[in-house]
Amino acid sequence: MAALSVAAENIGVREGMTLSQARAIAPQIMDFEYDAAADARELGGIADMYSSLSPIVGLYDDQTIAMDLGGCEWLHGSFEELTRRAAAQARDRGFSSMACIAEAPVAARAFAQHMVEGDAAGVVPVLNTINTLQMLSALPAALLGIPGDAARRLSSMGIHTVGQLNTLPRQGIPARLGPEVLLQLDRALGRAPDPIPARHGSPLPAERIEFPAVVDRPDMILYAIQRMAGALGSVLEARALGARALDCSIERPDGPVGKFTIQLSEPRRSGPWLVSLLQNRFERVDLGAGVVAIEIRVAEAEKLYYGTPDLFDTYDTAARAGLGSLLDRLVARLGADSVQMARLHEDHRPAKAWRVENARITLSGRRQAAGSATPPCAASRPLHVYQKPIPVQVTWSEGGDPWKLHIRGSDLTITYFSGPEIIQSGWADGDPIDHEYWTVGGADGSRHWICRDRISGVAFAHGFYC
Amino acid sequence: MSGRSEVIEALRRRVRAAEGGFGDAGLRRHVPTGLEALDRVLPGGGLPAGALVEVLVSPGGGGGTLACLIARAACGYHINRPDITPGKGAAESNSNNNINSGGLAAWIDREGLYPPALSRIGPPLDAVLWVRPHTMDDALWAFEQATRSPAIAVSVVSARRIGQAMTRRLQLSAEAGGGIALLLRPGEDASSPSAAAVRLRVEPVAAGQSIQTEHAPRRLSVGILKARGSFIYNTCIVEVDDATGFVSCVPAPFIGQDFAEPGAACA
Repeated sequence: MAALSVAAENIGVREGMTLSQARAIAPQIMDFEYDAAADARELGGIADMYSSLSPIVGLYDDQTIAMDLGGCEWLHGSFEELTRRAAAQARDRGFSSMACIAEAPVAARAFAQHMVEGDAAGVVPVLNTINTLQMLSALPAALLGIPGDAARRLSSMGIHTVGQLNTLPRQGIPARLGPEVLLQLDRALGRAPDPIPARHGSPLPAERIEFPAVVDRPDMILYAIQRMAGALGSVLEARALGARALDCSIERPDGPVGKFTIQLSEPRRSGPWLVSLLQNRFERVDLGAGVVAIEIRVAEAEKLYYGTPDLFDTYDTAARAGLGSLLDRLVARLGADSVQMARLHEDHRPAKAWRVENARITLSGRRQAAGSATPPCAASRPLHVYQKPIPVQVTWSEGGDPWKLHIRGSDLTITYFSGPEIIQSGWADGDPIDHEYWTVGGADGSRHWICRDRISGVAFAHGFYC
Repeated sequence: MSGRSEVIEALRRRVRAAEGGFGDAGLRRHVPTGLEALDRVLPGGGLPAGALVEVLVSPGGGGGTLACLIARAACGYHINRPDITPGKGAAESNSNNNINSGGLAAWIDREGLYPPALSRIGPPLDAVLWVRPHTMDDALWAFEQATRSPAIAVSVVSARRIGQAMTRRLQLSAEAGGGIALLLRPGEDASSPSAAAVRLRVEPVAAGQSIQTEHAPRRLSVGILKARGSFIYNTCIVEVDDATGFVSCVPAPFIGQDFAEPGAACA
């Protein structure tokens, strides 16, 4: 047991115990193999997230993220606020962190590591050009990141602290301890450049959460979504991007990986908004036996800068933004096939007199298309049609007019009729009809739209006026 | 004397403002339905924006038609009148005379809406977002989303067995979005309590036993059961020509009565 949580301490586990000893006290302890790649991936994810705090962020080593904060304090209010935000973002991902602000990354890292060892949580020291040597002098020299054998030789020479190392003759240090020791000392004290390694993250951000056990509770899924959406939003903001499509994968313990894509009507990156969208879509997912991992990947992105609103909002920006949000939410939950717009089509056959279109595409060009459609015919049409025509019995008068209608088990004496509207069409596309259509009404004021096949004589009710 | 009445009127306005401005065109936007006989008696001269409006209907009773007319007006288009040439001319006329054209209607449909008919009586199809959910839960969810959106001028859904809490929720979402939330409910729900600002009832007018043929428009009876800011129960007759899309009010006086006691019209 190298380090313990409060919960572990409370049940009696102590540092230095073997796993077997700890299990004897707490059988619920689970062990996992150390996954260095996952650690590196997670640290990289945090670094990507921090790119919303500073334009220059890099991995300084396998446990350290370095950021160039020059000028960034004005954007965030102060260095304290900036580091508070950084700590909060790390905490949201389940990590504790220690921050230090210094002229050089190596000095900041040394002091932060020293604070970790001294357990000085919550303090953000600031090392400037004047006090750096003073602040570092008492720190162990090994914290400068010098090679292990050089550190041992220093220790055997009785040189333990940075202050002692700084008093040694400079010319002799490379010859006796290697060039790395002097370079690290000079970097820490600002005598040599200490660049932050450039981070080459993936062009489109992705987030993945692997649960330690099978999860089937919606609140835990929601927590994971919130965490991932917040992180994606931060990275997108740092890169001045907005997501246009999100690929989601849900891994189950026994079964295929569930995959779906969420299309967005316009580029978006707001964390809370992405959460609401993902929430709507995930509500439709059958969790089944549970989930072991979730991955959300930005599949498409567009440049999205902070815009300056017009003084006179000619284009009704708020309403347009509201429409995009609405469409995305509706499509995410109901599917694109359930969110459409209709368009009239020049066809006399009633079932083919209209088409459906993708609402997002149609609405984007709505202004141009406004008022362009005209009804294909001037005959009466009901507002509601049956998905499948209902067979009805119609009694016809000698003159060929409808007289009585038997529909859904009841008789209707017809007191109003209009028709026939004869439609013979469709030979060209192989779907011919030869029908006559009537609008009929009863004494109660109700009206139905019926048709008779002119070849077979069979009558159907197609719809009703409502 | 006049000073006293002015004070009373000012107090009334303050009360109306505290109640949300229903029935006062100066305090809350009201959308005329285009049916003069109805607008004349609706408090504020129309339906209140940012409010839930219930229409109690019977199958085939004309609720869909009334919803079309209200949606058309809310989207900023005048209703079709016999004095305007139908077809393309009507569209041009609408675009010239529209009140605030560009509004969008969200039609939550689970019953088989027929777009060619909708385009004739209701708003143009390019102003209608057609949402077709598979379940009633999804329909109500979509309706709430649409009513909450500032981009939607009017949302329409047909639902049954809606509880009072749900109507309150819909009323609040309509207030957030600022549009009209139009809820079509079966007539038997009339006794259910509701948080709707306006409650209408529409039913077909019996046609009688005499045989009629061509050019006999449908007649619908539209009654006001409840309207916040007013205590009036009234009914008007609307004629709808489904072939041309022409709509007119029968020039008969309103049938009904004014309630003397506040709250008498509230369901």
